[in-house]
Amino acid sequence: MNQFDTVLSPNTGWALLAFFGILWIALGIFWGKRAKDMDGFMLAGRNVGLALGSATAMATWVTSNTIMLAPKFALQMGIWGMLAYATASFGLFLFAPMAARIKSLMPKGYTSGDFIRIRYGKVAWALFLLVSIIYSFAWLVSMGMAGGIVLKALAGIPYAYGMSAILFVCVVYTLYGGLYAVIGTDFIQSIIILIGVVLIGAIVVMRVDLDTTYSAIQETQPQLLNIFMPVALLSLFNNMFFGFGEVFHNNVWWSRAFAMRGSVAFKAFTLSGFLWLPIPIAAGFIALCSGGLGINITDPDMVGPMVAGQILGPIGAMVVFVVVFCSLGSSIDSLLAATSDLLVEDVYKKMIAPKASEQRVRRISSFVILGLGLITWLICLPRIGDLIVVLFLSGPLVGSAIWPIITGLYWKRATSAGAISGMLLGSSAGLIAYFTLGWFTATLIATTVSMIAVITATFFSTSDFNWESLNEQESK
Amino acid sequence: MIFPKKIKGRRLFFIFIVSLSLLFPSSFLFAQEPTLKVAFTQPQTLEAEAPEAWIQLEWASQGIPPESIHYELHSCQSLDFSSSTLRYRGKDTASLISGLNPGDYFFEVRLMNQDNTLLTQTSQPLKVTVKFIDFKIVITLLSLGLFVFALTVFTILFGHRNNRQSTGS
Amino acid sequence: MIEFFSSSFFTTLISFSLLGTAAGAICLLILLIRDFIKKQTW
Repeated sequence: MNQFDTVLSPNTGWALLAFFGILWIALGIFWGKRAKDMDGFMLAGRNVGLALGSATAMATWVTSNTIMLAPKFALQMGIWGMLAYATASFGLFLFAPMAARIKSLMPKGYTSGDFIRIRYGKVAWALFLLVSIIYSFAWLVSMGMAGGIVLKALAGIPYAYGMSAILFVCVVYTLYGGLYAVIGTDFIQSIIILIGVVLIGAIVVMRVDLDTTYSAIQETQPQLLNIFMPVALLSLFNNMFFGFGEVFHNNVWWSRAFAMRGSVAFKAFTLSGFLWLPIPIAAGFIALCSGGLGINITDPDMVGPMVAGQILGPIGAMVVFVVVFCSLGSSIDSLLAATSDLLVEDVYKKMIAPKASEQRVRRISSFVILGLGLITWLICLPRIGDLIVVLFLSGPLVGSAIWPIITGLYWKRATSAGAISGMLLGSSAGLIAYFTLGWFTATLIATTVSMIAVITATFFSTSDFNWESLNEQESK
Repeated sequence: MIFPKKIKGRRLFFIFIVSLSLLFPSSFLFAQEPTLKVAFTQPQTLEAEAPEAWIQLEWASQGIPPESIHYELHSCQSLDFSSSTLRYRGKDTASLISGLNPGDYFFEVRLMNQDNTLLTQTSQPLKVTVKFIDFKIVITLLSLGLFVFALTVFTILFGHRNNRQSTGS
Repeated sequence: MIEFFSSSFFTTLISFSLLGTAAGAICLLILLIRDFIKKQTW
């Protein structure tokens, strides 16, 4: 096949989309019936077990980027590219003890915003909400756009139709099913992703000789085997802190912590880290086989599907399509649910209508999910390529939130002054670094400056926070 | 006025027609002068840098090529292409070359006929310089990153341990 | 300073990543069955 062919025909693409779309919506409606109250709708009854908990944490962190970018990283940065990508799992590992702490401090908590508001006050809360909503939208939009782009590249489905179909399916089943639907579909999607990645990787390994592949790389692409590959090392910690910031601050992960039963949270996040860790390597290495097989790569963004399609034929291409669709679905649904929770709980209930009935809150939730989906769709429609930059720029924002959050959870003497200055100074420094030093320094600088601000403020602090106040204010 | 000049007019007309018909084939000759060309469309300059050891190359041909042609992408570390490496042979018009060792590379695209004869090639080779960022900068960022990473992990794990001790789990 | 990952590292890394991913899928399914039996799914 040459560079102008798509790996699948549009009809096959549409058929796969329709099959899985109807399946997710049907399951969403079915599981949604379990939600009898807001605890059910937003937090799946606060009783999620280890299997579903681990799967949802892992699946949400597997985005289309993991499947599509890991091969690109491998192709451009070699073995270190894949290893560096795998370190994104560290965020899940480190969130495990934090999730346990969150549950013990706020057994009836709803959102990350709740924590920041009680711990640090309204100013910090407002700042935090801003950071969180900017990042959540950036992530949602990048996923929506990625969906349209990938479906076009894989199956020739026009961008607007593919993007709209994916958003539509996710909005509908999240609307009807809430977190039950999200977590339930995440489990199925996680199994499909894991099996799909293994299937493609295993067949590639059976068809190529890895020693021959290694020799071919040594011959024509030697730097890919460099232990000190500068480009990969340069961005290693920057990307790691981007990952930490994303996981530590976002309500997607806090809502899961609240949704899991008792001691499950720690184990589930730890396990999800182990589940996620090998995926970038298992999905990425096939790009390294392209040279040895004489496969010409015309577009690095498509190296994964191209190699899978050439080695495995149309079946391989279908597996890639389904895996990408599942990885998109598992992230978009979580974002819709968690961002709507944040807006409903923190903005509507706390600021606008504190005495609203559960029924009313449920209706508002539905409107917010619809609204989020619609706004995302409108932003994705014109396909402004530069929007991806917004996601990169959100790195310093979320990086600056790392230290306020971890010290807020563990240090009695951490103050709101520290949190506010940490977020403001960290974000500013990070954004300046982005444009002056380079993208690979932005989040690292933001985290460092934020850390210094927080530690300095704590050093001079006489504060002695009462942990109980987190629990008292939240009990309903 | 036309009638007395009728014969002269016809002659002129005849000369005009003959000249035109002579011009037509020669106009083909002029049009064919730059018949077939192939050139890089990406990168657009003849000298490019690859700080990350990879380069995305794209090329296009101009003119009307015969039925079955293919391209060959060659690279060489010297300008004379004495010992070139064949990077790609086929009908694609793009290729990503990655994992290059630091140094200068020259690329050219050759347009080949189906019996492997050369039809044309890029008029000037593309020079790609692979040069990594100063390793001192890498070490600085790595050291800073490691330091902040260690502090972050320590804070979380220490806090977790204290929390478990105080709640007596 | 140039050192290269060895061929055996390359092969081992890929094999372990595939095995790990497969083990992950099996582990999740076993856990789900266990949770289902204990009525602890959600």
